[in-house]
Parts: sequence; C-alpha cells; structure tokens
Amino acid sequence: MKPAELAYLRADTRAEALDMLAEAGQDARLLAGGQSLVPMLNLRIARPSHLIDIGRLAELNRLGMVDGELYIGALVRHHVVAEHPLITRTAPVLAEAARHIGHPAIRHRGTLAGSLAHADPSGELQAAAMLLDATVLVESRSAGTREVPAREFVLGPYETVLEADEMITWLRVPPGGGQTGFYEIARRTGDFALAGAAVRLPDRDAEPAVAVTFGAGGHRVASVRPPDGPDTAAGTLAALLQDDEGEHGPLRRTAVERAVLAARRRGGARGHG
Amino acid sequence: MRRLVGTSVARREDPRLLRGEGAFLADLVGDALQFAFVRSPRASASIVRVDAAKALASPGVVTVLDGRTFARMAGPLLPIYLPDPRFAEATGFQTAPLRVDAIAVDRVRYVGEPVAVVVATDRYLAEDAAERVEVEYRDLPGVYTVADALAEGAPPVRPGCEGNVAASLRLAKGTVPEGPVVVEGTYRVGRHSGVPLETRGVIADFDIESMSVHLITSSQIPHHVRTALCKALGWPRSDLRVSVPDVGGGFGTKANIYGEELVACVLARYLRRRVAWVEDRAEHLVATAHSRDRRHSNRLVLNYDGRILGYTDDFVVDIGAHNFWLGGVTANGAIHGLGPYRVPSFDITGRAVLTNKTPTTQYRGAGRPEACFAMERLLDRAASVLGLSPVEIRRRNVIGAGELPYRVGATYHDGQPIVYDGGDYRELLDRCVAEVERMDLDALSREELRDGERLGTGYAMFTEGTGLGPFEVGRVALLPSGGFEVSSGASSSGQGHETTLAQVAADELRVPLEAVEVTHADTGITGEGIGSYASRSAANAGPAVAAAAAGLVDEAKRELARLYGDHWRTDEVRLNEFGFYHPDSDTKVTWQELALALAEERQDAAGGSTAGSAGAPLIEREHTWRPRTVTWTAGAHAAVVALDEDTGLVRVLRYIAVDEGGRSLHPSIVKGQVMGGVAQAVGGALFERFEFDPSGQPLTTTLMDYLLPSTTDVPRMRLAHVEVPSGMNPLGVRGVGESGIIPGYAAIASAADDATGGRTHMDGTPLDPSVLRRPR
Repeated sequence: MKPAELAYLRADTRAEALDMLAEAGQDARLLAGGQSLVPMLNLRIARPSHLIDIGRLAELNRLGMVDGELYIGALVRHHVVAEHPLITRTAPVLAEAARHIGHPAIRHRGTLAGSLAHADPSGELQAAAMLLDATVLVESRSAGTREVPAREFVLGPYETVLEADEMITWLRVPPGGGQTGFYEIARRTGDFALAGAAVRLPDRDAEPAVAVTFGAGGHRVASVRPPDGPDTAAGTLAALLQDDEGEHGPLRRTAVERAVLAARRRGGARGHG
Repeated sequence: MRRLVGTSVARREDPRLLRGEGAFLADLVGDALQFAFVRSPRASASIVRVDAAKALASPGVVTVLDGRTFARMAGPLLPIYLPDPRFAEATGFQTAPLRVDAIAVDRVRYVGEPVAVVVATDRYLAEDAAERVEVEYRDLPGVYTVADALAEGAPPVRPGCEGNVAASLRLAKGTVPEGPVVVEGTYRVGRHSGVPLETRGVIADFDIESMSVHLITSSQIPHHVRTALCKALGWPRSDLRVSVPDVGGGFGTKANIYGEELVACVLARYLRRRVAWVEDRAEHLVATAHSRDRRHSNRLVLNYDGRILGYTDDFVVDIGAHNFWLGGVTANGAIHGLGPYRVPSFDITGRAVLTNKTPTTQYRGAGRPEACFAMERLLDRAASVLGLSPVEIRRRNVIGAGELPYRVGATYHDGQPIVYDGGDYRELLDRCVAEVERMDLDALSREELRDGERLGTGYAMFTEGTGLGPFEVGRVALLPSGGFEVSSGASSSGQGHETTLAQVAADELRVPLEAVEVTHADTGITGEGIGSYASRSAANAGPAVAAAAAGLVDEAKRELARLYGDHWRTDEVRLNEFGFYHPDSDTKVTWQELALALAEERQDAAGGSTAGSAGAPLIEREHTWRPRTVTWTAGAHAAVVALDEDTGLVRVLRYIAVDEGGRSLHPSIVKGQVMGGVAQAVGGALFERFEFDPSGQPLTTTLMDYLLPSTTDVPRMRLAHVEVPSGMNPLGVRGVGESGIIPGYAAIASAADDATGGRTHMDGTPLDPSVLRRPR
C-alpha cells in the first residue's frame, strides 16, 4: 500500500495551479484534502504522473454572499460547510449533507471540490448541490471560467464533465424558498450511503417539490407539481424515485419519505435552501 | 499491606501506550531491509513461470526469491495443535496431514498467497519491484464453498486430502430419542475475524557472533513460533530466539504461525542483514487468517414441557486453504454446543473442510460462538413451538446450584472428562432477567428510538472451558537494583499482563507494585512457554508466576542463611512488607539489602568488575504450572436492539452480561475484557463478513467493504461478574477473555426476532437487513 512513483508539485496560487495542470498533461491529478485520492494512490488504483497539491490556496478556502448568492470556495472543508452560520442559515440542507460525510477527521481534511470532483455515487454534497440547483464554477488556463449546473456536472459514477486541465474553483448556491430535509441510510454512522435523499418542499403550490436521491446507483433528481399540494407531492416523489432495479429501491423510497418528514419537522425554521 | 490482587490498580502499561511511547513492531524497523510479497491474484492455479529479471534490475532491490528457491532453504509449516490422544480416541478425531509452504511452490491455493518475496532498501521500492515480477499462471479448478469441496470428484485443495475433509470428529452420549417434540434448524456464522488495529509484522536480525537469528514478531505465541520455525528450518533451538514487542491486538489472528515469519528468518540468515516486513491492511484482509465460517445443522428433542431430551448437531467449518488449529476449532465447536443445560443425550459430528480461500485460525471464542449460536437459536425456536418464552425454556433446562459440579459425559480436547465446576448457572439467568426488568424499556423507546424503529430483547447463555493447558512458565528474578523482573510465555496484546502478573508477583514477594517489571514474552528469557490465547493467561501464567515468586522467597531465605548464618538458618524466617525477619529477633533484612549484598558478592567474585553482568539477575526462579484440566465459566446475556423495519438495520442499544467467573485479579481489566468481547460480537452479528465471488476472488479488500463496529455501534453495557473461585488453580481464577463474545451473536439475533414480533427467525450472521426489512 505505497503509491507508485509520481511527481509532486505544490501550487501557491490559483494561477500557478492552472499552469501546472495545463503543463503536466492528461495524467496529472489535483490533491486537495486527499480523503479519497490518497487511499486510491496507496492501493495503486490511481497512478497519476503528477500530483498537484492545491491544499494551500487560501483564495479558494473562503465563502461569502455576493449579490444574494452564496459562494463556497473549492477548498472549504466539510466541517466548515457543516457548521458555518452563513451556510446553516442560508442553505441548511448543504450543512446537513456535510455532517453525514465520514467521521470528524475526514470532515476536517476533506474539501468541497474534492468531493464534487470525485463524484462518488453516494456523495452527499453532490446531492445537496443538485437539490439547490447550484452551479459549479470551473476554470482552466486555456478556456478561462465556465459555469456548469450541478445537475449536469456528474456524468456517472466517478465521472464528471471536468477536462484534464480544469479545476473547480467555486460552488454558487442561489437563494431558494421552501423547506428542505435530508436523510441517509447507511450501515454504520459515517459509512457511504446505501441510499439517501435530499428534498425541498415548496412554500407555494405553484412551485415544484424536488428530491434528489443518492447511494448505490448514483444520483437521481425528481421534481413534481402535483395538483393537491405538498402532501401528495411527497408520495409522488417517493414513487417516482423508487427504483425497481433491486434491493436498494425500497431504501430510496424510505429515504425520501424520511427526508420529507425531516423537512416538515423543520417547520417554521425555513431556510432559503 | 493491602493485597494487590483483586484491586483495580492503575494499568502500568497505560502511561507508555497513551503517550505514544509504546514500541510496536513498526516502531522498531529502523534501517532494516524491507521485503514485500508478490501475492497470487488467482484462487486456484498452477504457477507456470516466475520471472524476476525485471524486478532484480529495479532500483534498491537486494534479492527476489520464488517458492521453488525458497523451498530449498526451508521446509513446510505444520499444524500447531492437535487434541490429546484420549480425546481423539473418544471422538474418533481424525486429521489430514497439512504441509504449508511459506511461498507457494508450483501452485497457488488462494488469492493473497505469497508467490515471491522481494527484498529492497525500502518498502516503496520493494512494492515497485514486486509489480515487475512476471508470473504466468494456468487456472485450475477450485472449490469455493463447502458444497463444492465435498462434492463427488471435487478437486483436492491439498495433496493427501482427497475429499477435502481436513478433520472430523464425533462426540456422543446415550441415544438421542425420536420425540416427542423435535425442532430442527440450520445456522450459519459468517467468515470474519479479529482484524486488530495493528497488523502483523516481523523483523529478523542476524548475529554473526552466535550465527543465530533473533525474530521479533507481532504475535501472541512466540514459543510456538520458535518451535514451528525450527522444525521447518531444521535449526536447533539455539539458532533462533523469538520475542514479541508491544502488540496492538491479536484476538487469535496472531496466535498463529505465518509463512512471513519463516521468510524473515531465512532472509536474515542468508543475507546476514536485518530485514523487516510490516503487513499493510490490504494484505491483512486477504492474507491474515480468517475465522468462523461455519454451518450447524442441529436438532433438539424435547418433552412437551420444554425439557431437553437430546441434541444432535452436524457442523461443517470452511477452513479455507489451511488451518493450523483445526483440532482446536473443531473440538471447541463440538464441546461447547451443549451450553449450561442438562442434555441427557447428544450426538455431535463435525468436519473441517478445505476450500480455495484465505486460510483460517482461531478467533476469540474459537468455535464456541458458532456452537452457542446454533444451540441458543434453536432453543428460541423450540420455545416458540412449545408456546414458552425464551426465558422460560432456558429456566427449565439450565443447571442449578444443586447440580454443580456437573459431569457432561464427554471428553474435553485436553483428554479430561468435562466437569462444569461452576457455582449456579440458573442464578445467572435470573439475574440477567432481573437486570432487563429493571430497565425502563418505555423510557428507552421514548428517548432513543428513531422513526420506524421497534425495540426487541433477546437472551443467550453459554459455557466455556477456560485456562487450557498443557502448561505455562513463570519466572521471577531479583535484580541488582532490588527490583524484580517477571516473565512468562504469555504475553500481552493489550490485556494488561504487565499489570496483572505484577500484582500476582508483588503480593507473593510482599513488595509494592512499582518494584516489579513484567517483560514481554521472549524465548531468550523463558525457554519454554505456550502463549496468550484460549482465555488461558490469568489461569496459567498467573499461578506459574505466583509459584515462581514463592520459590524466589525460599531462594532468598537460603541466601540469607548462607550470608548471615545463625538464626537465619531456620525455618522460622518470615517475610512481610518490611523485609525478612526472625520472630525472636528485631533484626530484619530488606530485599534491597539482600540485593546489595548479593551484588557486592558477585562483584568481588569477578575481581571488582561489573562488566557484562551489571543488570543481570542475582537470583531467579522459574516454575512450570500444569493445570489438571480447564475450568469453566458461564453467563447469561441479553441484548436490547432497535430495528428499523423499513431499512432492516439494527442498532444495539443496551447489552447486559451476567457472567460467572473466577476470582478477579483486576476487576476493571475483567470488565474491559467482557466489553471488548461484546463489541466484537456486535461486529460479527451485524457487520463483519469476508466475502468472495464465485471464483474465489475476495470482495472485502478494504475497511470500506469489511465493516468493523465503531464507537457509535457499541452499546452501553451493564456487566455483572459473579465470583466463584476456581478450584483448578491456587489463585482461584477462571479465564475471561472470550466470555463477552460467545453468546453475543445469539442474543442480538434473538432481539432482532423479538423486534419483528416473531415475523423472522434469523439463522445467520451477519444479520441480513433484507430479511429483517418489512415487505412493502
């Protein structure tokens, strides 16, 4: 369990990181918190030619509101996402999602962008970002910045739209109404989800109810605008997302139902997420 | 002076371990050459060709050996433990000869088996080079399940073991009647094991002066290792010293002999260099022995009132590619099925079967949890058939005070008749039930149940033969400092021997605990020994150390007589916490003064020089303790679980263990042993299973797939230890290392059934959530 030989580079600025990425070629990988990549290196599943360490880019390790939208930097740690008042106030479902990632040690090292880029089918932050219709900002030396809707960012398990020379810089979360809820079913606390769901129930019947499920089988989004209001919306969502492919179908349904329950319980304490 | 035995003094090893000052194997590697293995990716194949040319040309590589080359330097490893011939005769125990090459010769038998070893200047380079060893395999038919292995014409996993049955036995008494009430079941305990925090590791050093090898190994049994390796190497014992450092958990996985130990010795001797191998977790999960993996098909015959008339059990253990303890695990699995119950007739047969999977060994409980699971689950089924509660059926069968000691009518694997030497097993059940009734389950439901969860309670009982012989060695030495050094063949892998054996010695020597240091086991200190496993250390090393310390007191008195003559030369000399004294005189000599006098005498004899002997013992005594047979423990455990019927997931909320044990050397350590066992039972009951695909490929190759219980999964426990001093040894102790784990699987399964309202009868571990899930 020792990594194969590789070249280690450390970037001190974003521009430097993009230069290194552009020059190191197809087989370079960015190293942020290392919580997924380092085990893969040790098992020699990942064998990058270059490892570009972006862990010290302070400019991407911050968050704030700009024009009413929440911007979270690529290197913000999961525990910050889980606890920062700006996030717990404006996007509580994102904070809730972060609390479900691994254990405290993992949450103190793991980063937002690392999690998004790894694109694990059980990724909690991915689910919350999709629910909130957030946007992933990515940047490269050749093409500058482009914006990718979170719902289009992941192509499949461990596969994203990122090009070899691109890095994630920010996640932008728009303001939103309604009540949100999150529920995860895992064998043990901190495990990868067997099934999970993030839901948003609208304040007004005119808006759709949205659910994102995750776990084995990956992320799925469903959105319904039922005639009889939010109560039947929850049932319809669960039915929509029930997956008949096997043992995890009923679990997804349970996850949605419980996430709806959590959203209802949140009651008056409505977030913008 | 207050006696130390029986009190929970602060553990003496803790300051060192908690400060990170422990010296585990990996801490001792230093600049040793490191070796890594090329391990088989195939479960059953012949090795057509091994080409090491590219590896040998890799940076930092010292040498590469394949199995054929290695086989010229060392012979195969053989089983460690075979039951006593009297047991073999009573049970028809038979075993096939197992001869296991440390590095595969010509064919591989499981994924992870060593095919070649690469020695390099560091581990990174060794792994890089190992990737460059080219091995050509040709797949052979293999057997990956017991059914495959026992099928007509199945390919034998090992030569000389056609039919793949590596061991078999039959334990019977009387004739099991046909009725009136018969219940049957088939119960499985999944393949899992100890998975200690510290993986295995070895360092071997070559001493040019003595032309001998010193092997340091993270093991529970250095003396067994020494003996087995010398046999394989054809070396005299003087050529090999085996010692252990701090060991970070063993649980039976390290009470085994491993090929890597043999490889280290050979490399050190032939390279004349210090060499090291530290197992990584990826290796550990496929190459350190697994355990359990057992199926019991059993039958209880009862009267209409629920009284047991007879019991039959036919079990099969899937031992993978080999098991050096197959005698122990098959015998334990037969003997312990009967539990603390009156079973007038029984007929138990068992087989150990070879398959092309990771080898197995004993794991905490070693056959007992499986046998207990089978009996306890079937008792629950019988209770349900007869309309009795699980508690009531146990009450009607459990052995009470008036019936103990109880002769079971069978032979233990040490060749002695089984006699339960306990106090009152019925009382254990009553106390356990009382503890559950004292809990406010309504409040528990209110406060701890989550959406969709239901509460369930389950019970299980067990008996265990502890303190297995045949012997253990204890040694106590007086040092020139006036302090004492205590050693034995039993060494700690976390159990606290440095504290408990010091307590025993200090009481005999009438000195404070601080005066005694306990060493790790080392064949260079005590030439003989057995080791730490089978709940045996306190019951064997304890009395051995006590007797050695008593012998040292006698030796000291003789020295006093020699040094000071006169009235010291009588039987009247006494020892108390102030030193040696004669009742008729007010003179006394302390241990310190005696040590000083002996050290001066030795220095004078050496012409004033202290070179070479400064710290060497002045006087020492060794004692070999041989127990007559095992001494029995028993317990009644209850689990309270929360079952989410929508997901099928179980959480253990509370656990109650009422155990009858012997005298506690250290009550907190006893409690810790039970708690640790319960934690591992939670793992086995809910999470842990080594899985393989149909072609023998392991699927649980990281700790993401092999799930260990974490702190959030281990319940709050209420423990009661009922002390019934054992008559089997002068300290009155019984073993406690395994009692926490043995009934845990059954109690948790039973509680899950209770939570489904009897909709399920869980017959295998880990509990399958898809069965516990309510259909919707």
